Amino acid sequence: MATTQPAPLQRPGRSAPPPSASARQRARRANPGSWLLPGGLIVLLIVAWQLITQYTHWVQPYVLPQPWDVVARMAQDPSMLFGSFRVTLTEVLVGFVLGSLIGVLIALPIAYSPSVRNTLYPLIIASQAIPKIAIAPLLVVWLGLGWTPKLTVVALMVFFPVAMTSVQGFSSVDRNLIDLLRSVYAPQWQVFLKVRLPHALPHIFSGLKIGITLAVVGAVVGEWVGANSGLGYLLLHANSMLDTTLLYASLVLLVVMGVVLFALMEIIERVLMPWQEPQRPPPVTA
Amino acid sequence: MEPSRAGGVAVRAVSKQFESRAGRQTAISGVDLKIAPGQFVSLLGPSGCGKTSLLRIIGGLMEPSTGTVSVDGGSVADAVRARKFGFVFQDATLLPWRTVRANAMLLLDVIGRRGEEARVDALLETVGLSDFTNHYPAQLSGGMRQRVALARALALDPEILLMDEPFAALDAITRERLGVELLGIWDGARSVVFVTHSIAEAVLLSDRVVVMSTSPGRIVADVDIEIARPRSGSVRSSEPFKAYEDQLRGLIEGVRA
Repeated sequence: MATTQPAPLQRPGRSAPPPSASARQRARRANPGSWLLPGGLIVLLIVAWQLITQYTHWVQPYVLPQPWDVVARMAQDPSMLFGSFRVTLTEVLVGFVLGSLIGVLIALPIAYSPSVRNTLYPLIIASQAIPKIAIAPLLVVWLGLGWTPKLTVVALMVFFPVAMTSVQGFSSVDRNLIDLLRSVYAPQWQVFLKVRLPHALPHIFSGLKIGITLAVVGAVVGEWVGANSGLGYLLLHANSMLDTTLLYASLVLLVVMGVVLFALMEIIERVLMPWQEPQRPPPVTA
Repeated sequence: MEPSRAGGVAVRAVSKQFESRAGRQTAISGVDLKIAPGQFVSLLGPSGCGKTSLLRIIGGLMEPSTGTVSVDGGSVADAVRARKFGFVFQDATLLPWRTVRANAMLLLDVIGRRGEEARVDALLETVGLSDFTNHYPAQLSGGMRQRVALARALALDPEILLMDEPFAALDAITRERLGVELLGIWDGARSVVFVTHSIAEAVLLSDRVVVMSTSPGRIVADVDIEIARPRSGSVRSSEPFKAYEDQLRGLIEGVRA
């Protein structure tokens, strides 16, 4: 039995205990500077837009209405606009959940088996090469005018980025780590649950964040080819009536929806993966 | 040194070929090696001598092309199922979402061994990490991460510890320090197969140094290091230590010539 003790370590960082999760979240929230510049830019652009449309005759109101008129239009007919908002939001969310589930589930066999990967890849890439707007009318023929064609378009748009990033995530586990787990005869499902899935999460989330913005596009496309409600339908309707304020009001709501959903995904990502923390204390040296 | 439980390895006439674009490559050829239970054996040689392949074959991560390996008289597959091996690689490969303690417990977790927190904490203290059990890997230096990887392997209480250049990615000073620490951590209750290309590291740690040559990888010398244990870092400036270093250097250079 050897009696040599490990040499004492230098611990310059020992006075600072690791920050708790909530402390780290607080640190993140207490950084309003990151919102100041983009927020200021948006306010500046809207103010410029308001001034130009209000005090000059450079553009006709039916081309570019005043921002204030757009807001007034929303206030004037809130039930129609927000009713449409609710319809589109439902399509986006349900289609997004469906598309993401399909994306992650299809990624599993692809990541685990090279032959499945070779078999499915051309098909999946072909499915993305087809413009969704081109097959949307066909979907209406197949599936009718109800919810299904819209959800299908949304799911079709969402599943691709989610599938691609998930494949990458599930396959990107360090070779040595997999060897280490093999060397202790670890059950496959344990390896999946404790290593592969958490390892893939950041990748999956980058796909989900792309997917959520595409989902809004998908819902609008779905509504364009056959719908009698929703913001996409309202957009077409307003366009045909040359009702530019209504058109802009719908657009604003779509943008708000996309941005809020994207931000929501980021929040979920941070809650699920606190270790993906950009602000870390400096490394402790040994 | 205490008598060990088990962990004897017998490698008989093992060769390994790889298919590559350049054709058939022989990584190791005709290797015979017996490791007694509780022995610390280093595989020493230049890059490409097949020492890592040999280690992976012993640990069941790779099949030999020809030849056999037995562990405690049984097959390697049985030894893997009985969880007799503990691996440490050059990279710590810690999970960034697990704390130091949770990383050290990972292998116990995935094989369903519960209730060994106290033992793992004791191990973390042995490797000098008791103040860092709740830190995340990103908060640690390379040397500390490698200590966690060592604790993770020891947590299994393996009969055979397989270490593949575990300190090679570290800076020279940390590397030396960890080598000396490993002297104190290794309790002689398990065999160790230690792959390295550092002569000093091999002499410091080993009961026996097996020198390998390149293309094809084979064993060219097997040197017993008869320096009394317990050893400490100061042994490196002793005459016998330098004599062993010179002997091994001569063997390696003879191989290259």
